[in-house]
Amino acid sequence: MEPFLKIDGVAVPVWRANVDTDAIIPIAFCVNRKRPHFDEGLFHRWRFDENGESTNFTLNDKRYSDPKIMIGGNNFGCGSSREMAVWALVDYGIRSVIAPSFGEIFFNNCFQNGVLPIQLLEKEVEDLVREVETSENPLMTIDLEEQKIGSPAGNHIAFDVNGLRKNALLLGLDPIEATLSQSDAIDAFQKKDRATRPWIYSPGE
Amino acid sequence: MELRERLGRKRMTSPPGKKMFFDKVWDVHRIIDLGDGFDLLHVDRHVMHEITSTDGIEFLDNTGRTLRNADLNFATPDHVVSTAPNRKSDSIPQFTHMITSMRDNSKKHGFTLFDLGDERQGIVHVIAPEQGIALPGATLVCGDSHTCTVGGVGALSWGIGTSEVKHVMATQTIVQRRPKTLRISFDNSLSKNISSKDMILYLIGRLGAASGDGYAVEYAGPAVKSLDVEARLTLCNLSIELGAKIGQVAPDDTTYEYLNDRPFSPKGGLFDQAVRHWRTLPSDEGAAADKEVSIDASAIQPQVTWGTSPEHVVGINETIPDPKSADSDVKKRAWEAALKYMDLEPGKPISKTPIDIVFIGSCTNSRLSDIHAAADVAEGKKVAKGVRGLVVPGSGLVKKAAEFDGSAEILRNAGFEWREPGCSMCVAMNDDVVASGKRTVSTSNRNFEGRQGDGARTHLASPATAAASAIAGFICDPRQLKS
Ligand code: SF4
Repeated sequence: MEPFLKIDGVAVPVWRANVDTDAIIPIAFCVNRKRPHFDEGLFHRWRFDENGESTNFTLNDKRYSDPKIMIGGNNFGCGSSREMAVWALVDYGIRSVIAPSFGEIFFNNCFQNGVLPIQLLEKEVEDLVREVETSENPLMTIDLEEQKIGSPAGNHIAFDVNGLRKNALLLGLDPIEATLSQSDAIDAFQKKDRATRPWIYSPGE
Repeated sequence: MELRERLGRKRMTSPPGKKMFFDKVWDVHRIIDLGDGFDLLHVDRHVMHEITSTDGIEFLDNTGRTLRNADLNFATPDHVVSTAPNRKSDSIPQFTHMITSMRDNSKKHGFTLFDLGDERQGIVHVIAPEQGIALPGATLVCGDSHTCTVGGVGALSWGIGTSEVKHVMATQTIVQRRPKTLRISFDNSLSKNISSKDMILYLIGRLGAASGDGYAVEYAGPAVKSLDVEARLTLCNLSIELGAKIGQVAPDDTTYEYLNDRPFSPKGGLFDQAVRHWRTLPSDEGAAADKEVSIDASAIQPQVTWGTSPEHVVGINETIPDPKSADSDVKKRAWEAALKYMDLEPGKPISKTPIDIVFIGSCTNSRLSDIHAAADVAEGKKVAKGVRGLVVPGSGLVKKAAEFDGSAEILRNAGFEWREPGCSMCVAMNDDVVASGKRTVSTSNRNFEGRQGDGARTHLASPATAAASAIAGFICDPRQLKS
């Protein structure tokens, strides 16, 4: 995975509670498709009306073209575990999502794809949304190393991130390779566990 | 500091030596402490459906890898399959390759497949406990958020993304951050004709759709203890709608009875040995969860959702709420959008809202007891004119049992369609779609915009409420119809 460095770009608000992954990418766009084409489905129902015409949804607003950052409401990315929701964001160019809280599986899927989900207080996010909505240039910066957000008005907001996850993002680590290097420990665990819980290892016997 | 990560840190509130059910099971599966709150855990069972496993298998093939423990992997097609009578693998041509490639891959990679045409095929979360694949105290993961369902038999189960599916396939392990524990006690007993679907919708309405975020939930208390296993599976199914990846009911005699003699349950002496282990798992007396909530189960009425999040829910005799009364700006905007999408007016009673379709099915409510609850209401009555009613059993075995005991016939005689097992209208990938602007009462778990079809308006409810609404032609309290 590509190492995660600084982000400097347009921030787009999707300021609504409980934005679910069905809304982020409808199921029809999840199948029979390959990377990097999942962006076609990104917020499809909100970007287009029944006749395929563009709506006034924020992603269609010229002010927010080519966004790198998304600002969402609480419980952002709740619902289905579909990782295509994150792929759609990445394929569209989004590298970080800021929200008061996240759907847990979505939150985890972000890290797996080099996207940084940032959790701030609801008040802090609301203030950012106001700034982004009212400023001429909705530009923001995110520095993972320093754990700092720069708002359009030039304010700085600190954020927290788990140490293990920060490291993995900064280095672009591959978790499967890391675990495979622990094969001996897995073998040893299974050997010991098989003796105490034999029914786990031979289903139906 | 980041709130979520702070939540993840364990606060030791239990007296020394006293452990919660969740903690005991987690600790049994820890292979390596990775630091910063993360562990490498053993995965006892990996279950797959055709949507989220495809990329994983492709990854194995492209990197020359194999399943680390093929015996611990199980699969079934459910999301894209047709549910029409006499359906075949190629009934829906654009998905045929997903079904056939799963078939080829099971031969190549050696996992167990419950294929179309096999009576054991069905919705992944219905068949996992039905087959005895999901077991108490066992970790079970699947690339599907409703994997939390099988916490109903006491499994430690949760939904994972595609990257994690690949990890599990290659290593039979998963890297996870240990969540905090939340115990929800349903005190007192349920009123007559109230189901576990009403319990969980009521709970989500009370606490909110994000309230379980960062927690492993344990459902406890007398009203939970007295539920049968199928009702417990329904209860745990909507844990993800509460915001929790994990929902569990600690195993007891009801669980062991249910699991005895299931095809993949341990047999004979091994079953007895397993039960001895399972009996040590429930929370120790005096052990405390990080957060405790109690709910008066006797106050629960039949529930129905009015909006586009499961937290948008009211009792069936209540009115649709006004966005002006929302307690935050972000919520107010969501309520306004929901009412517009649902074409509903605040202040009006939810019951008597006319409907077009009733869907009884999904991993929430498609087991034999759910079919029985619907048949009880529908017996001797007819689905209202202009309403389409579908009943989609959760597995071939559920279908067979309902046909054998006559409940299928009751439903068919009432005018319901009786279909083949699959996810069907819950996710609307196959031909079972709610047309734009149409209103449905559904026993599934998600009332999200467009979930049951573009522009579809979904009201979530129990099988009894769904069946009563089909017969009335509008959202209807099943207790009214019964008396
Ligand atoms: S029935 Fe619905 S919720 Fe359950 S697994 Fe299928 S699509 Fe998902």
